[in-house]
Formats: sequence, structure tokens, C-alpha cells
Amino acid sequence: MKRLFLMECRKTTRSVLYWLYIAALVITVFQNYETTVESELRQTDNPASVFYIAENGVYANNTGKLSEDTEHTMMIEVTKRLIDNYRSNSYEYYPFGYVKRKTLSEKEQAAILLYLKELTGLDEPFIIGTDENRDSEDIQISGGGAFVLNPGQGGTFENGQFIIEPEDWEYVENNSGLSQSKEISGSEFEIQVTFDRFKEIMDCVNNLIGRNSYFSRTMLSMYYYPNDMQDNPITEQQHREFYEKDHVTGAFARYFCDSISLIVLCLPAFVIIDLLLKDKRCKMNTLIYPRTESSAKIIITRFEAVSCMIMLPVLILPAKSLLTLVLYCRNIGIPVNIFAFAAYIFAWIFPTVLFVVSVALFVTVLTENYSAVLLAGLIWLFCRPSVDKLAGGNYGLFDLIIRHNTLKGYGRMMENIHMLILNRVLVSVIAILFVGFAIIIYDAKRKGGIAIESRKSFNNHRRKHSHEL
Amino acid sequence: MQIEITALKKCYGGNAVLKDISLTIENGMYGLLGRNGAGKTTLMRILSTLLKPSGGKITFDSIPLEETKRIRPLIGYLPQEFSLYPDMPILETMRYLAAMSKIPVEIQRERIPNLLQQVNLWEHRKIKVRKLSGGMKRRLGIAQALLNNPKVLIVDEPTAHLDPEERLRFYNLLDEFSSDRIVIVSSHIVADIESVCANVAVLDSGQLLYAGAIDKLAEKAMGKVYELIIPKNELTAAKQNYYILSSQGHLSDTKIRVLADSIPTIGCPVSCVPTTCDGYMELLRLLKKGVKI
Repeated sequence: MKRLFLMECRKTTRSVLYWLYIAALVITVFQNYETTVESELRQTDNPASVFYIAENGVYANNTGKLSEDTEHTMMIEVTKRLIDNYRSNSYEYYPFGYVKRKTLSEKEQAAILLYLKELTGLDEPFIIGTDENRDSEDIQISGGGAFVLNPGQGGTFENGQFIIEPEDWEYVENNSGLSQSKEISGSEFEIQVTFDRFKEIMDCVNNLIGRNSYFSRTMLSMYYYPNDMQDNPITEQQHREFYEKDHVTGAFARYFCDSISLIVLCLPAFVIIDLLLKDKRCKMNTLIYPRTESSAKIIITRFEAVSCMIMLPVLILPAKSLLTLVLYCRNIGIPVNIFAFAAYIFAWIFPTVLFVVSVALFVTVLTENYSAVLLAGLIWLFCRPSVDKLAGGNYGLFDLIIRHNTLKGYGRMMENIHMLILNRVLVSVIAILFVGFAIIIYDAKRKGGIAIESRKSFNNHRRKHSHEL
Repeated sequence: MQIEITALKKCYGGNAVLKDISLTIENGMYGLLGRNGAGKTTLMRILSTLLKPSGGKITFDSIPLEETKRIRPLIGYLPQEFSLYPDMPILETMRYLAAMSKIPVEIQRERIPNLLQQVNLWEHRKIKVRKLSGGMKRRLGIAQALLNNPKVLIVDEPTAHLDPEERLRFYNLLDEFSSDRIVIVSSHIVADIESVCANVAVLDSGQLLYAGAIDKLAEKAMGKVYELIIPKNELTAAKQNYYILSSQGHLSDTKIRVLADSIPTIGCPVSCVPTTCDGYMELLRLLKKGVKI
């Protein structure tokens, strides 16, 4: 068994697709994860950095609620957008994570108009944009130019306040690319409803438009709620979680797992498909099928070998950052959990790898063709968690990958740890079931129970024979 | 070792590719003779546990074929078409297939070098399979089939695509291995089977036409083989009336060898001693005529 396992591992390393998988991992890790580690270590004095330690022990506030200002800003901005969408009758929505536009019927438009009237208290002509008395408060700059704040300008105070100095602005002569004053301005109306009623209206609007519209709660929270995926100053709770619960490496291990999650959701399938179809390409099935080794051992050994070879680079890749983090933390005298990467990789990545490999194994054993490639593509496309799960902590029972695109959020993960454990166990159990099915199919084929190849060879034979006669 | 095949049937959908085959095979070389599509490969695949029969019974020393766990250790199989992993060296290929056959490492260490030496591949053991010639690949094929020291070696069309020298060498090799086991060889070339097999079964369109000693096969054409010389322009007419086994042109005449139930009325027929090939052709002729064999 051990000898066969090692031989299957060696066979895996001879596959070009295996090396492509490793290349994809390396590129992803060095482009996303490693740059984050470096930038976090570079700016430990930045209050937004997870490494930031306030000298006076005062961190940004974490009220857990939106401020009234934020609520008001959100309502104004969202209502402006809804008016614009209403006027053009073109609404953005994200059915499968990709943006699409929808045109509403007259009846639906009428419903939207009613909501807009309730939100703004304005008359229909004003909302439609035909009101002649509408005052323009846009400030026209002589020459058609504009003051523009370039990316990277401005700075943050220790209390988290964003500050822009006069020299950060730049005057641009031709501002044709900038937004024009035809759009409705926020100062032209006042919101007439409470924040709770606003949310109810948005839910109704979202239902009219379709799945995941811009006005859905998911998208609103993505755009307007402060979340720890943004460069907000670190709160005391986040600071404590990072140093005391995560022991630094835990946070990076989660982020590492997140950065490679989309790779392991698809590419491992190609490796096992290639390994299994090699038997067909090299006409090895007729040499392997009559062998003494049981079908269970052959399938399990191949499954184990590919899974281990897939996990090997995943375990090796964070070594550099682990060493960097350990050295940094030793210098500042903070204890580090050196097993965090291994733990998170096995808990988060391994079940996904088992699932992807087992499904591809089953389909390839069953069909003996490249159907599993298509299936792997479909899984990658449609089985990704939705955008609201990006920040972690929001786990579904059937999520194939665990997202956690932030170095913060330990507490959020722990709040839902039971669902996380259940999910990982379920995914692993389903993987084992698929391996079981693959064994049954493989065994039936070895005994001639399913004889696709034989029938094909019979037909070829018959054709050849009739041709000769 | 004895293989007992009783009323074996194999159908694909409504097409019967093996019809009521009954055979007894004992130690030594056993030939399966028949045209392409006769059912030889199907029979061999059934014997190798790769296909399930549709009916009938097969036993290996009283062990039913269905008991694959007991049957598989007894079998070595070399299919007609195989190519192995091209990027794997010879020695590693043997080790891989030995591991698949559950052969303990200690036995592998002894057996693999022996087998590779027997098939003259030991010196080339580090060469990758893709670099082997057709003959070398066949020899590697026979070595892998013998890995588990099988009691029954099944070899399907082993000499296809081999040059005459390689063919001779290959059959000699098979003969060496047949002393204490059953070696079943299939071919559509009568001379190949005749040179190595004491017993033979003739198959055509899934039917068993003959089973027995190879030298008795010739007797099927006894008194029916004639040689005659006819003018070349009469050859077409002769072809219509007689089953021509061979023809050899010489100036304006042609010397032909025919199968006929009675003495031919053309040329000057001379009765000949039939060969194995004549016996085989006589079986096919009778089948074509619809005579029950």
C-alpha cells in the first residue's frame, strides 16, 4: 500500500497539470498574500494595521452600530442612485456575482415611483427630471475644469479621521470624464422616512429588480457599512483578538487560506482527471484491471496520493511568511502560534481539496472522459460563496470554500464556529461518499459489469470485420 | 491446471459474439485461431475476468470464474493493444504493476530482475517505455504478465506488428514459459499457432468450429486438397467452381491448390496431403456452405 502510494505520488508529479496547479498557487500567494504580509509589516505604525500598538492604549471605537451620519449619508446616496436608475429604467443586479442590467415593466416602474415619492416627498415631475423650476446648485468652474483628489492623497489621524490638505487637490482643465450636473444632487431633497422604513423599502425594491440588486442589504452593507475589510483603524477588540487569540499567525493563516481558496476549488480536479485518464490514454486499464489488488485499495491510494500532492505545496508556501512573522514577533516579544497555518490549512483547505478531488474522481471513473473538467468549471463558477461571505464569519452549511478576506474578524469566526465545523465535516463526509461510489463503479468495470470500452471495441471489430468480408 | 468452459455465451445487446462455446484447456500452449472478429479477444477478455459472460460456465481447477479474488492471482494477461506509461522506465513499470499485483517487495526484488533478464530487457531497465521498439514492448508485456507467476498466461495476438525474427523469438519465449502452466495464444495466422501449439480451437463468427490437437486439424481436409495446372485464362472460371487455397503463376499457366469435395474436372488434378492451414480453410469453407460442423 505504502509503495503503491509513493508510486502514485511520483506519477502525479509527472503531470504537467500538477505543475500548472503549483504555478497558479505560487502566483496567487505571492501576488496577494505575501504582499499583504509585507505591507502590514511595513506600516506597523499605521492605526489601520493589525500590528498597530497604541502607545496610550487608546484604539478606535467599536460601537457595532452605524452612526446617524452614516445612516443619513447612505439613505441620500442610495435614493439618488435609485432616482437615476428609475429615470433610465436600467437597474444593476448581480445574479451570479457578475453585473447585469434589468429593465422594469411599467407596473414595476410605477411601484418604484411610489417608493421614491415616499422616500423624498418630491413630486413626480421632479423625480422624473422634467421639473423646470429645479435649481441647479452645481458649481461651474470657469474653463470647465475641476478640483480632483488623486488616489493615494490625503492621510489618516490616529483617531481614524481622514484629512485632506489643500495641496492634495489638483486642478484638472478638462473634466469631461467627471460626473456632470445632470444627475440629481443630494441637496435637492430630504429623506422623509426612518432608517428602518428605508430598509423595508429597499427590500421591496430589491425584490422587484431581482437577485442581489444594488439595493439589496448585502450590497448596501458592502458599500456603506464600515467593515474590517477596509482600512479602518483597528479597534481594541480587534487588537486583542490579533495578539491574544490569533497569536498573530492565526490571522495570517486565515488570510492565506482565503487567498488560495479559489485555486483549490477547481485546479485539484484537473490533476486527478489527468492521472486517471492516463490509464485510458496509455491503454493501461487492461493491464491493471486483472491485477490482484482490490478496487478499494487502488482508488483510495490514488485519491490519497493526489490529495497529499495537492496539499504539499499548500503547506510549504506559507513557510516564508511564517518565518518572517515568527522573527518579527520574537523581536517585539510576542508569543506566536507556529502551528496556526497547519491547523487552518487542514481545517479550511483540506476538506475542499478532498471534495473537489473526490467529485472529479467519481465522474472520471464513471465516464472515462473529460466531463469532470466541465463539472469542475461549473463548481468553480457557481459554488463560490456570495459576496456577503467575503469578510468571513457568515458560513453556510454547503459552502465549499471558507472566505475570510481580512486579517481581522477572529470574533466573527468564533461566533459561528459551530456552523463552520459542521460545514467542514459535511464537505469531508460527502467527499468520502464520492470515493465510495467511485470504488463501486471501478470494481464493476473491472469485473466487466460496465463495459463501455468493450462495446466500443466490439463495434470497431464488427466494422473492421464487415469491411474485410 | 485445467480450464473448463461450458456453453459459454456473450452478447452485446442483441448480437451474440460467442455462441455456446465448450472447451477444455490443459497445461501447455493452446492456440485460438480465427479471423478478425471471430470472438478470440472476447473469449480472452472473459478468461481474464475483464468481461462478464452472458451465459455458460467457466472454471479454473473447479474455481468458478465469478470468484475473481481467487481467479486473478492465477492469471497473467497480455492484451493485444497496450502501451504502458510512456514516461515510466521499464524497471519502475514492473515495480508499479507488481505492487498492483500485491507481490511482496522481497519477492519483487528477486523476480523482476529474473523476468527482465529472461526477456533480455535487464540492460535496458532504466530506459523509458516511450523509447522501446515494438518487439521490446511486447517482451516487456510478457514480463509484466508473468509477474505474479501465473498458472494461466493469456496472450492476445502477440506477434501483430512484429517482424519475422521478433515473432520467432517471441514464440520461443512463450514456449519456455509453457512447461508448467497453460499458455493461451490467439492469432489469425495459422503458421504462428501451428509452430508452437499442440492444441487449438478454431473460432469463427462466435462459433467454435474445431477444438483438439493441431495435427488433427489437417485431417479435416483429407482427400479434398488437389493441385492442378491450368491455363491462366481459365483461372476466373476455376475460382467460381472451386475454393482456391493458393495460386502460383508460371508463364502462360497457373499452378493452383484447391479444396473440392470431388476430383476437379479441369487440369490434371493431383491429390495432396493437407496441411493445418488446409484443414482450417476447409472448416471456413464448410461454414460458408452452411454445413453443420
